[in-house]
Formats: sequence, C-alpha cells, structure tokens
Amino acid sequence: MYIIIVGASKAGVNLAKTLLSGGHEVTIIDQDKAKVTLLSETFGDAIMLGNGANASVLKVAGANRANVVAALTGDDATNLVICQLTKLMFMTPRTISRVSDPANEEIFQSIGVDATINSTRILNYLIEEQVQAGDVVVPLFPLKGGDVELVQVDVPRGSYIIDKKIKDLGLPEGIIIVSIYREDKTLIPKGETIFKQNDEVIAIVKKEHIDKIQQLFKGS
Amino acid sequence: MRVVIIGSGRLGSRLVSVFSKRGDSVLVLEQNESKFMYIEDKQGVEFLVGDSTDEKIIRQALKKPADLVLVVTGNDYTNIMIAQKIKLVDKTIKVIMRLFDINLVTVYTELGIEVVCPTSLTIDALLKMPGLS
Repeated sequence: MYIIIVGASKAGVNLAKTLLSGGHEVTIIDQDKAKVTLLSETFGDAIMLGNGANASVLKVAGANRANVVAALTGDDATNLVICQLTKLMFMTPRTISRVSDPANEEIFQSIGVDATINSTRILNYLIEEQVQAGDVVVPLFPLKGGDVELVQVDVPRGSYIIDKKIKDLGLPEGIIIVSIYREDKTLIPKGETIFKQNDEVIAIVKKEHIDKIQQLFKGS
Repeated sequence: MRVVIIGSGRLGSRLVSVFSKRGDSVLVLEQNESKFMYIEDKQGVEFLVGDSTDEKIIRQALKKPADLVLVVTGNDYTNIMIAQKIKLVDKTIKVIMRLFDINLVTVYTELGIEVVCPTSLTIDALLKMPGLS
C-alpha cells in the first residue's frame, strides 16, 4: 500500500514508522521546515516539505496513486480540506482524518471522509495488522511533562484480567483505565466494570508502570 | 435583504459598510472583537462575537433567516469548514465564500458552494491592463 500522511505530529511519525516497518510505502508531508529537516535523517525521501492541503504539493507526493491519505494535522479545518481535495481531485480510495474537536465529527461524516476518528482510533485502524493482540502496549501519545503516556492495550485470550472487576485488580495510582472499546461501543469504565476478551483498552499510565500493565493484560 | 458576514478583516469590514449603506440588514460574526474597529459605518449593524466554526454560533447568527451569507475570514480552510457547516444547518441558504487557492475553487464549485477567488480576479484584472493583453 501507498500511504500519504499529512502532518508530522507524534502520531504521524509513529504511524509512518510502523507502516514502513510493515513494508508499506509512505510519504509524510509537513510544512515546518525545521521539523522536516530533522526527520529527514530518519525518513530520507519519505518526508517532504510543503502544505499538504495544497493540490500541487499533493500531486508531487503522488496523491493520485495513494491508497490511503491520512490527515493528521492538529487543525480540523485543514484536515477537512485535505480529505475533500484528495477524494475529489485525486480519487483517493480511502481518506482518514484526525478530528480534534468532537463537534466537528458530523461535518467530516457528511462530506464522506471514510473514517471520522479521533487520533487514537486512526492509529488503531492503520496498525491493526502489525500489532499482535495483547502482547504489546501500544503507546499512543506522551502527555505533557513526559513521564505519563496514553496507551492502548488489548485483552487477549486467556488474559488474567478477563471477568475481573477493575477495582479488584489492585491497580497502582499511576494507572487509570480511560475507556474500553467493545463491540462497536466505547465504555467509560467504573470500578465495577468487568473486562472481556478482545476489549480494546485505553489507559493513562506512568512510564514506570508500563511493564505492570503489560503483565496484567498478558494472554495465555 | 438580510446579509450575514463572517469575518471582519480587511474584506469583511468593508463588506459590512457596503451592504448596510445599501440599506440591507447586516449581521457580522467575528471571533476577535477588536476587529470590529475596522468597520467604518456601524450604524444599524448587528455584531456577534464567537467562533464561527462552532455550529451553535452559526445557528445564532442565522436566527433571523438570512438571504445571503458571505464567508470571508482570512483562512481558506476555515472558510471551507464554515461554509459547509452552514449548508448542514440550512442547505437552501445562499453561501458565498472567499478562497485564495485557485485549486480549491474548482473542488468547492463542483461541490456546489459559490466561491470568489481574489487570486484569479487579480490575474484577470492584470491581463486586462493596457499593454498586458
């Protein structure tokens, strides 16, 4: 697959790395010259400088042969234009977009963006195949300050936590379970909530506890 | 005629005066209140301060049915977002937006939103000047 990622945010960069290591072809577009210069050490020709909402830039990036365009800038309006432009001018089969303001999800849906997804979901969506269920804690975003991360971890078969209540897990203070994605619904968990197999769990975790959460969730 | 103008920069502030002098009822929506000072003729003009990409604010601006909405903030992408949100609120309303990027004009004209493009107007005007045609 050929994937164009607009916006060299942390999410964009990590996504690009995952896709490249999975053997896909990737181009990252960002208009911050300093950032592009820095990242070109890692990405070489796979990163280019430019405004990814500009048709000429997208053309140079090869938008007409891209299978997926991922609009990952921090600005919803820019992402909207990227998706519409690539769909209409370059007939991109699949466009996905980061939507920072949930109130904007409706407009993205109404104009036919294939996936209206928050940044967390984008990563999940694209790296699904690369991630072995349950044996990795996927870091999504480092939070400000640096030692706390937003992570995703799935509940594999045989995991210790299946059928256990959150409050009975004895989680240390540095781990907060934020949401559970189960059967197309996102649950906001309480202490009484019970984990099921295949749950996709989003958690805020202090870095020192990442091993702990990995252990808890580990499958058989 | 009832006209809603979104964005009170160099273009928007001038449009407010033009339409209100013509006798139209004008509401201007702008995020940055200090920009209202660019409007020379404020008499009879309604002012609304708020984020014009926010659907609630858009609804508020359109509370009195408008005949025309002009979307003229300085940012193409913002204008596109606003224009399409207005169409979601009321798809019959006449919306015209300003876009600088000529490539985007084609896309959004195809999508049924009216566009004015200063870039292409400037090119046309230049080409009509003596010695250039």
